[in-house]
Amino acid sequence: MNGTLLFQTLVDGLILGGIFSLSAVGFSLIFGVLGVVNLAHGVFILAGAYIGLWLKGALGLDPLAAIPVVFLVLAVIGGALQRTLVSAAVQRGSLMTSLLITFGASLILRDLLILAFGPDIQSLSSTWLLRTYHVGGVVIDGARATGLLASLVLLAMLAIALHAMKVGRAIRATAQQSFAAGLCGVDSNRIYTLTFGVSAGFAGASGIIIGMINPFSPFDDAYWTLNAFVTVVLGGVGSPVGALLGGLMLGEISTLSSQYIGPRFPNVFIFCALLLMLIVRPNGLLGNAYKASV
Amino acid sequence: MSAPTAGLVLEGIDFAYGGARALNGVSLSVPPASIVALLGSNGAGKSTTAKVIAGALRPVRGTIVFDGQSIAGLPSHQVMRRGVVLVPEGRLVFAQMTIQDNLMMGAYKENRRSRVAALLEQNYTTFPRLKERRHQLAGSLSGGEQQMLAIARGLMAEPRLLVLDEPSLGIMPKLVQEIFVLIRRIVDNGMSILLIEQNARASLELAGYAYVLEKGQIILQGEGRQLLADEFVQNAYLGTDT
Repeated sequence: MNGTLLFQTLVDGLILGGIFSLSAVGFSLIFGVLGVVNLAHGVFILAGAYIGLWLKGALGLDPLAAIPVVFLVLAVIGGALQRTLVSAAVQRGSLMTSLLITFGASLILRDLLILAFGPDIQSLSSTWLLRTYHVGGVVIDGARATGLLASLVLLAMLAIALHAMKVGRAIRATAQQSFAAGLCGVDSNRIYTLTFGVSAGFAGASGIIIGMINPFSPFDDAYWTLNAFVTVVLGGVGSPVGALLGGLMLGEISTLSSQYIGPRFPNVFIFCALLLMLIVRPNGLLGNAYKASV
Repeated sequence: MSAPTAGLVLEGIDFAYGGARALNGVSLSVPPASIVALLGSNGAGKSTTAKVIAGALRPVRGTIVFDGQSIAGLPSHQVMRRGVVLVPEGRLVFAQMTIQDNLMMGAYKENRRSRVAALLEQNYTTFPRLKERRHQLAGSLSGGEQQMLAIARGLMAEPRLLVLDEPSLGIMPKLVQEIFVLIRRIVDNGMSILLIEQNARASLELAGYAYVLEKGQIILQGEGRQLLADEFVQNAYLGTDT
């Protein structure tokens, strides 16, 4: 076996995994805190990429510099969706109803993207992102290196916010015991809106990074929602670290299987890993961050 | 218009879960700096009363006034800001958070860091065991220790009225003693307590005044000592139970 090739594959997996992690963390947080499976997650990611594309075209803003703007726009969209449709669905129906509502929202948002940007494949790459670097035989281009770094920084920021800030404590408390959090003075409805908004913001930010590395089209949303789902099952619900572990596993399984077995096979191995995890540790590697493991 | 009354006054509270009536015209009052006990068997409506007071359930009919202001119908996160804090049945600590994080959640409404630090210090003095283990997860504590933590979390909110729902439930007798000593001490600091208990004897010895709730109605009330001597109470709630 060729050592450099193996190393290159591992590095590629690491980069892909970092992106999977960031793209899944919002999905994981919404599921952990609200118990809602957000099927609009993939569209949030793509909306981030398209807003980045628009900012680049209209204002000449570099994709990386667009991340804060995209984060805010998606946070507002996500927060509004939760406050109006999702909370009504959960209160008047059930958590299952929210599946239908978020699926419906994803269809509407996807059609809006097609209407605004057309159905064609787009890309967010900048010239400086195309430069390649050679590190001990391993080739990394600027886009991938930047993507991995930005993913890790954003995940770390979320982890710090959840653990060291007052609002993060309130989010964790609400996820664990919303009744007791209310008795402590937390308005759980506000926390739910905030969580949905922040999660959508992270999805949008990951969309920028995805767009910098790969071409994207409005029809990719199911792919990204599915990846988020797999990442959460592998790593565990509700925490950035769980998303990171799950994303890295997903990334390595993808690149190793497509390198050594064939580019048609990653899904087979991903779903085998998924099955294996569901048998061995049904709550994922780290379990649910807000509930005691079963 | 009557003058605003101090303390908590419930009048004619009705509540129903769907069609099932749980509270039927419940009236009670907790004057400032006093201990009032609310006794009753399982399913009598004690916890429902606690939740109605704390704003977790909205009464169908009736008034709830605390220190002259109506709190009926306010959500729980606003009721606690008026000074009425519930320590819920079953403790409901944040199991996957550290003890210190749990306590800091109790002081959620407080924005001044220095005040939060002072409250922490104060509660660690009252509960030295919590201080020793402040970086452990609350879920690793025993039932009695979790109850202590739940009470301390309630005290972090600086309540004027603390509603304790079944603080002795499922806790070893030695710790129950400790909790009752603590309740006495809290009242000495000027807070009042509504003590909801199945442990009738200990509660009646502690409480200045007590109510007995049965099938959603107050069927008996009086001073603690007086109820302790009451024949009905002795048969129904004291019996061989100590």
